[in-house]
Amino acid sequence: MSFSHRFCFFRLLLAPCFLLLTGWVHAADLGPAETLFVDLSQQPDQRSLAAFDLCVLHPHAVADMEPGHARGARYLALLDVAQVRLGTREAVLAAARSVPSIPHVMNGQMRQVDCNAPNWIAWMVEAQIDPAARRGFDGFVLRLGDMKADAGYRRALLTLAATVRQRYPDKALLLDFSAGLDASASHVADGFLALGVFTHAGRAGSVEWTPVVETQKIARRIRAVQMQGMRVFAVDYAMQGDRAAAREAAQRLAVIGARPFITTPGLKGVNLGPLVEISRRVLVLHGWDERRAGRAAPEADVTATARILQEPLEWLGRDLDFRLARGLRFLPEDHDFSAVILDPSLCLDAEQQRVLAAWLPSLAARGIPLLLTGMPFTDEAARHLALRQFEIGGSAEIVPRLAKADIASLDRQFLTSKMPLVARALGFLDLAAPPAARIVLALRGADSLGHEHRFDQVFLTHWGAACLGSFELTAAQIDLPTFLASWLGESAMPVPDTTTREGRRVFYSHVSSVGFSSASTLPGFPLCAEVMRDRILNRYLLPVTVSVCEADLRGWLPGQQAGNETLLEHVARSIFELPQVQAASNSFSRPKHWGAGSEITSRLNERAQSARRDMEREIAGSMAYIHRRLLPVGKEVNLMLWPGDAKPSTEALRFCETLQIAQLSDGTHTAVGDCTVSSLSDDSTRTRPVALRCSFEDAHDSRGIAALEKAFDVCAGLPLHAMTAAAYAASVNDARATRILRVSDQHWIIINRGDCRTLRLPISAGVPDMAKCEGVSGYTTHSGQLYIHTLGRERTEIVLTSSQQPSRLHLVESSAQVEFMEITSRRAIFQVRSLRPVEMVFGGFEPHGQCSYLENGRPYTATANAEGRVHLDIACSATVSLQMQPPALRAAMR
Amino acid sequence: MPCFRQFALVATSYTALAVAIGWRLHANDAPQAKEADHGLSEIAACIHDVPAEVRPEAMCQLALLTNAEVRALQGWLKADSEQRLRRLTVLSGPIHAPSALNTALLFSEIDRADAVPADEAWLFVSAAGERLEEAHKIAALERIAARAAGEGRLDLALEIHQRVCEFPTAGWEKVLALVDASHAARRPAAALRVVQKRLAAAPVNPVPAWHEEAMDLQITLLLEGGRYAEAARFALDDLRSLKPGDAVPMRLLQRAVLATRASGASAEMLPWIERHLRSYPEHQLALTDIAGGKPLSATYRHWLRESASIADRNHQGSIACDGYLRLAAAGETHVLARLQVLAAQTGRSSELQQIVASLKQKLSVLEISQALAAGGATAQAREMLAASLANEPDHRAGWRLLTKFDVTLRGDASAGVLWMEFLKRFPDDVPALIELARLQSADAQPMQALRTLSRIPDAEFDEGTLRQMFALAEKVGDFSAAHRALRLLVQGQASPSFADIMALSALNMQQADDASAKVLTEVLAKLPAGSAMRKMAALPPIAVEAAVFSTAVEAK
Repeated sequence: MSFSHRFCFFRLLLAPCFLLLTGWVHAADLGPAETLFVDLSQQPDQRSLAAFDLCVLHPHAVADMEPGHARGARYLALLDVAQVRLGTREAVLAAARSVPSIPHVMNGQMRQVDCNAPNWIAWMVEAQIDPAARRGFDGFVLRLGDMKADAGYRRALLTLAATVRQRYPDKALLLDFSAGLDASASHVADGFLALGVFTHAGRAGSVEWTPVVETQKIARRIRAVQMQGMRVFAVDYAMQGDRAAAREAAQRLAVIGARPFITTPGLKGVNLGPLVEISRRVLVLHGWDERRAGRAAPEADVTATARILQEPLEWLGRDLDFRLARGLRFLPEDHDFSAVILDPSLCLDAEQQRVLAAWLPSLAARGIPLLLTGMPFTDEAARHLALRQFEIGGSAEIVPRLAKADIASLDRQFLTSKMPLVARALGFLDLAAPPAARIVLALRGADSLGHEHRFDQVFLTHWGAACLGSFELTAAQIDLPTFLASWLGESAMPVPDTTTREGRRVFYSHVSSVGFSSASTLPGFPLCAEVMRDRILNRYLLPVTVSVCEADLRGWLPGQQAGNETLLEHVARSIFELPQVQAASNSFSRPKHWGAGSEITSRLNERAQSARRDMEREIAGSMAYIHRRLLPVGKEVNLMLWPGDAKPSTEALRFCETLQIAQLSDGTHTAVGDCTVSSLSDDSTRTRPVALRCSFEDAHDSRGIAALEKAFDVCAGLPLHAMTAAAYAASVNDARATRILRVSDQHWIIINRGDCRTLRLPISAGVPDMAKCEGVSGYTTHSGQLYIHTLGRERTEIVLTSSQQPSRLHLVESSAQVEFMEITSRRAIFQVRSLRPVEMVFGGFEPHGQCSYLENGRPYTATANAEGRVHLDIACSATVSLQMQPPALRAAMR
Repeated sequence: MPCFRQFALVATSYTALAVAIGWRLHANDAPQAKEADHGLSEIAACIHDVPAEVRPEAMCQLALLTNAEVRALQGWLKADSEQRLRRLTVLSGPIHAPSALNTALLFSEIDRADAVPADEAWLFVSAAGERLEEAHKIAALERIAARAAGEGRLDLALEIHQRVCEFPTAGWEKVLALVDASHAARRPAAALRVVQKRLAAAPVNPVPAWHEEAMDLQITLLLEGGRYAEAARFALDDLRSLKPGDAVPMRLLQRAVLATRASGASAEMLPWIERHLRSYPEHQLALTDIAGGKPLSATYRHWLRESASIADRNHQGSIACDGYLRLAAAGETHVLARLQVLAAQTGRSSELQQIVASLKQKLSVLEISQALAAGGATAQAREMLAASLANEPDHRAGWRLLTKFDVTLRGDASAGVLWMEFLKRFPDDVPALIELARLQSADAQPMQALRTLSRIPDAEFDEGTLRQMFALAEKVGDFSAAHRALRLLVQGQASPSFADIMALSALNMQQADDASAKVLTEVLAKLPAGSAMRKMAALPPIAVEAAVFSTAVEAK
């Protein structure tokens, strides 16, 4: 050992001894640390970290701690003080510093370090403590691992803790509870971390119960150390998907006073409680086994569920997960979903039917609702089993020779008034709902022999719901959002909403590349693209996303004449120069199929010069062309608009995701012809944004131009929140990826990228308690729904209250995106940037209260109306500082 | 042949290197000699990937190095990358320069993984002066530019390309590379400066081969930079510089049309295009001659089209009408609709009538009226077609087109009535039946729509219509129509969809139909023997007579 090392060792050893003797240490503050998270994987999910106050991570974890630090979260490194993995830097240093170690008894890859060795502390500091501190951790958890702690080890751990405290007085320090230390550690540590109190990790990832005697002992010790003012954080285990077990485990830990975290034994960051992540996944079982049927099953997106239920379910915040009924193991192993739908296309053989029937009770046991849209049980035994579990009466078979059908009963609450109710004989089943079911639509029929039959076609019951008969026709008669909300039957939760932004209905539009190079019928036969530019795009200050097809502009499509490419490129450039136009790619050649193969490009003419004809060329190549040849400096192309009716493959979607390109399908929007004031009026529930889809072809003749002008006039006149198609696509993607964690019945944590900035709840849920919410700029109500606007941060905390709130400033609506720099109870500073003057409404003022604001440095005042709302008209680009004032009369009296 | 020569050169140089190393080994057993040979091998490995035109000579030179030079090179190798590059370019190097070995070492230095950053490397190379031949300097700079572009430093790449173009020996292809780099960096002005400099310095006689391309590029780059007026001025100045008797070059005309169209000054092109058109003998032909079948060349037609189009856009009706009349006479029917308006405005309707009459000898009235309708003159198209159909009551295609025109003119609300009227005349017209059913279905008349579709003979159905028919039958509870639709669907598919088979099977279970049962048996026989699905779909049908009834009941 060199002199410097020896000196270092003595210095490190003496300092804690001094501290222990004097009994003086400076305790670091762990902060409120309401929620705990433990993830020992090397790459923890960044978005999970955003939800918690205190995260215990692997010391080498790749994690960006800055966003968490900004909001006051703490990150602790879990350090194994008595074990070291072979081949790691720690092991190399241990060998270099001659720290004695022996092979681990159970794990050949590990070595046990002698904690009583004189140079152990110096090694710990050099190999583990200092690197973790340098990486930005806010503290450490010192753990003995699976070592049996004796008095010597405990002493060594205490000495190490004192050393760490002296070296890093500002960092938090937790000790492994299993080391057996008691309140004597209160001088050197902030608390304890107990990994496994009532349960512990068993073999092969199972969860095993800790003996009761042991548990009682731990509980007593926890209380003892808490009496000394130390905090105890505890982790217990449950199996993934076993929500009830996780809930109980969290309750048990809370009862003994520990801050709980429930995860799987692997400690890989699976959050099972007490912050409950609300599963938004709805499992859809569909199709059949190709090998058994001899025919391929249809794709998921053509199933009745996708066509009819996807939109209302997404509106309710659910995400459909389609699963093809292939093989005998067609059911998922976990139960990590919130509901199950049996699609009408589900067709199972006898064995599969029995498997499904046997699986049903597990759903009921976990409270997972099932939606029956057909009767997949044709096998006698399976049907019998299923009917018994469903408590369904009748044979559930088709009634033959039916001569007459009639409506027996109905429940108007769940039926739509748009369609006339019709009783159909076709598909009439002999089926009676469970006794306590709520019947939505029941039919009665009589066969040719005069026998009466009953068919409870639509009903809600304790295990879920059924919507039988011809599903498409039946579903058309039902008010699907209401029916599905009742079926899901959960208490209100915030739903990421893409139809509304800053309180107003979203508007976006895009122009498809079709017809760009075609001649119009207008005088002089200008190009449709020129007509679109001059008659539409130039006239309206609405954001429009224009897509172009590279082969079309280069004159490489069949039938295109040579020599026009310069003109076409010039016209495209002149369109993209308009400030309200954003660029998108409609691909290189508008292929019909988007497979991963090397030849997907559509047919081109003989002048085409492109060596590659694959997906990369179609997406990235076309975007590079647009970027280099067509866009002015300062504009980017970041949207892929899938051409026509082409369906992008999974590979194509993944490729876009890799390149971080937003993508949007071409076929799910309002067509120009459908755009009327009445169709877009905002008085009903917003189920979709106002989206105007058109193509250059629409500018072919004067009739098409008139339709376009009418549509844009309508949209320009409505109180909408205009955004680009790329921003909308990003919000849709973000809405799908948004995670919702329930803290309590009226308290949630929302984690997303901040692209989806609106959360929706039923109006009956209450109003946001702005004083307790985090990352919320305001809220508004519309048609029975509460829309909450977020600040676009990765973590938003929503706390609702049903009581009357004191006046507190909040944004009600805005016609453009608002970037708040500050928003407090009486003051707000924000920036807006739009193509048109921005209309804003702020709420939370006293009735007829005063509002003074500086807009780009110029002072203005406004008066609130009787509801305490102030309407402002702000310049297109402005920085505004707004201050709430009392009503003029009271101000004068004061 | 060059390939063989190159191979021979490479082989010779490597042999020379091997011989040199062998000779050295033989001559000097001392450790320094071994070290020197090791150094030689190291350097040989370095220059292995340099361009082929430098490598053989460099290898030969390497083989002939003295021990002192080898040691110097070894010392050079140990320096950091910046020092190495500095010594190869601006300081005194390990070997004399210019030489092939020095150049090869420079290339290898540029391509190394730990090479000097591109923004410094290109400065060293530019400042190399006499130590590097110009061609090699250009090649080295191009390699650095490519590396900069690869690293996303597009502005730097452009700057280097600009420097390359400044060399007297840099050819036109270097300018084209610069233009590419300017596109990548979105800075067309940088390339434009170089192109204009080249054009200014270009000899008048003989005009270089790249001159026209450069002129095109000048206009394109001006347009890319948004300098439309300047582009138009350049192009028009070029045109004005022509002597009165000179022919107008087509490429120049094309450039000018593009530039003036972008700048909104296209009207200025009309006299020039007219001058160009006069150079064609076809321009002397009368309308009647053209209508009579005298051929027009493709280029004449192109410029006639341009002229008429520009005139039309600039409200010069008589020029536009004249051009369109000539085009119409030549058989270009897409201008007919526009001509209807212009001829009326300019009082040349009689000429138009004559042309239409002559067109009727070549084309059918249907084609002419379709062309008119496509151009937006649906009323005139209808009028023409109705007149011709007055004496042709059985012209099914004509009456169908007339109905379409009527629908366009009267709107969608009248479409159902109009198609019904058409069906009175042609009751078995399948497209009309399908269209009527679609309209009835959209108008919430499923029963009527189903009745309309039922009139279609079995052989005339397509899959889409059959699916529509089944959906309607399901909606109104018509078993026989449902049976028919499903049966035809299954029969019509080479490999019937399993969902259709199951639906037919379920339908048969509820209400049997002999024909459907037979089809079902046939189809099931084609399913894989013993497959579970075959068993499921083959459940026995209920053998009773199907009765037609309606169960639609309005809820109270």
